[in-house]
Amino acid sequence: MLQWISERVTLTGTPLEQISQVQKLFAEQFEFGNLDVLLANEEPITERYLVHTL
Amino acid sequence: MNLLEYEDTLYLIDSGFGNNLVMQPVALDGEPVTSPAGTFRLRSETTEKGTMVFEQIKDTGWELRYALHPDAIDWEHLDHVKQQIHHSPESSFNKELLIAKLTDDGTYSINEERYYRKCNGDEETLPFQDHGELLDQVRRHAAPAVYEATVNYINEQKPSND
Repeated sequence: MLQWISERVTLTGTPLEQISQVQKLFAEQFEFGNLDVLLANEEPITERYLVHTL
Repeated sequence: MNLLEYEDTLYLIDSGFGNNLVMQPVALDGEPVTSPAGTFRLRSETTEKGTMVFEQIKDTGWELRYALHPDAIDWEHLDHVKQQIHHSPESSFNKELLIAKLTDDGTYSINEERYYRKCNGDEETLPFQDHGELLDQVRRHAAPAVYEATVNYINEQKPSND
């Protein structure tokens, strides 16, 4: 995940500013949606699941 | 979401819900913060749902979005929340399609009835006449993987709706 972020944005500034840059990157890259719910994706939530989902 | 203590202040780092993306850490009992989605704040207040409230300003004033306890939770708890989202009759997310995204100048959302865009105070709604129009808007605005998942969902609906 860190590599994925570093390939898309160069983090600068204070820790809070860097967190904001990551939040903006995620907002640009990912829609909010409920298709996993409607398609009944019942895979348990794990760290691997979250990384795979992204 | 995460909580971060930084220089003696607690910050909420929220990855967002729907179009409500704040896109910056929000200080507990600090100044409100503004993003294209609106203006938000985090306050100390004890309710039956938690000891902090995350609020968004609306025409009628500050409106509660959610409350939380500042407690760490484990993967099992997260999975329980997922089960609630999937199966609870009270869940808003297991009834019909919702796709939403923040854009450079506003927000858009797509449900099974319409495409809606809010941009710099202007609003636009395009009602869908059929699934083809819905899929066309998803293809235009969402990521290819979201479009493919929407096609699968619509295909599952076809026997009952078409």
